[in-house]
Amino acid sequence: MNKQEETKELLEIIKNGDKNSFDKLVSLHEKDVYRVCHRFFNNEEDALDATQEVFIKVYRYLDKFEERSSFTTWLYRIAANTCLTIAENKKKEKEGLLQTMISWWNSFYQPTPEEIVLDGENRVINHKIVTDNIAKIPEIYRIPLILKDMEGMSLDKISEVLDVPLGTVKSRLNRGRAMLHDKIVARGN
Amino acid sequence: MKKCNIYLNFVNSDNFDDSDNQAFKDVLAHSEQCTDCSFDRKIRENMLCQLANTPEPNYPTNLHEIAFNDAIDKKTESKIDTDWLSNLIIGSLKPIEIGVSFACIIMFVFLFQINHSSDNSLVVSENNQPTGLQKMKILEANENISEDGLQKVSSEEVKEFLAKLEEFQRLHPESKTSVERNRPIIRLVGDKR
Repeated sequence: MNKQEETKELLEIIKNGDKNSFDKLVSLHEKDVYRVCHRFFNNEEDALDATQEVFIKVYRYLDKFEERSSFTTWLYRIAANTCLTIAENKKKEKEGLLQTMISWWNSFYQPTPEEIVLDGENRVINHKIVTDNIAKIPEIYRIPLILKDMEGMSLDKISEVLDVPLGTVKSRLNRGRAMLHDKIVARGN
Repeated sequence: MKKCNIYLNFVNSDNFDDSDNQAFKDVLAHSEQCTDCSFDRKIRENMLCQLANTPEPNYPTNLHEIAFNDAIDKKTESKIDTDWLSNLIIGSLKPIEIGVSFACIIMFVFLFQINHSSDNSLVVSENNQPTGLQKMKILEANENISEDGLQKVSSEEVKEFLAKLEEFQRLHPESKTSVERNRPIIRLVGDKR
């Protein structure tokens, strides 16, 4: 039985009242959700928070899931929206006075020689450069980039997940790639 | 690095995934001849390759615990809260909230009626009429003052006193030079030497 069939079966069992099967449903999809969240935030703490938030929402709204789209599409949609919301909240927090002062203080920071050497080594590890720079792209462009270029999702499915027209997905993806490219080139110089 | 229009137009278009596209073939052909465009294309290809082959993150050992157990716990907690506990708290706090607000308004109005500039807090500001209790206390205070035995002085007596003072100042002109020293000392009835 493949993942999709197993999910369908579990959903039917859960909808018939067996809430214990939710455990299996989480086990089946938790890595996918965590992976997307980790790629979005590029840190474990936020990725775990987002994953937990996603499954709370799934548990809460599972009864309302009408299977008009596939479960994975619905799950990715929740994950994308959750990541965007958390990122938005973090941004608001950062705008606080304390954060402004911390940023001002950090602006005086000078890397140690060891860190400079490590940074030089990082340039060789290309995937690290790429993932580090993805986290710097605006969220709206980051999500399509992760779903298409890292998760290998089709443009049609991304359009369904993000609930935006195909043309919008294409332009956001293109913009995201251009931004990532510019950041990588700028870093190399 | 200089990039040609044919390459830039294609990169900025949204048809980048359509490898059957004629424009894509044209760009490929162009970039094989143009060094700058070829270099940029290689960076892009490398970037997309890196993205596609990004290794999976290290999954934390407590991932399931956080994703499932904690999610269920939080959901249950929030359900309990919304079901009865929060309703109970909100329900019991509402009358207190209204009571405190009402008391604050009364206190605010009362404080505004009192003239704070006077030593006697019972004196009411000009715009406000004193209440019954305040009137009684003011009258009582006035009676106490008249009983202290202060003498009433007529205007003729005041004129006579001023004339005497003038005469004294005329006879003693040196008193005018030292104002400080000759300032009349005012002594009240109850004052002791």
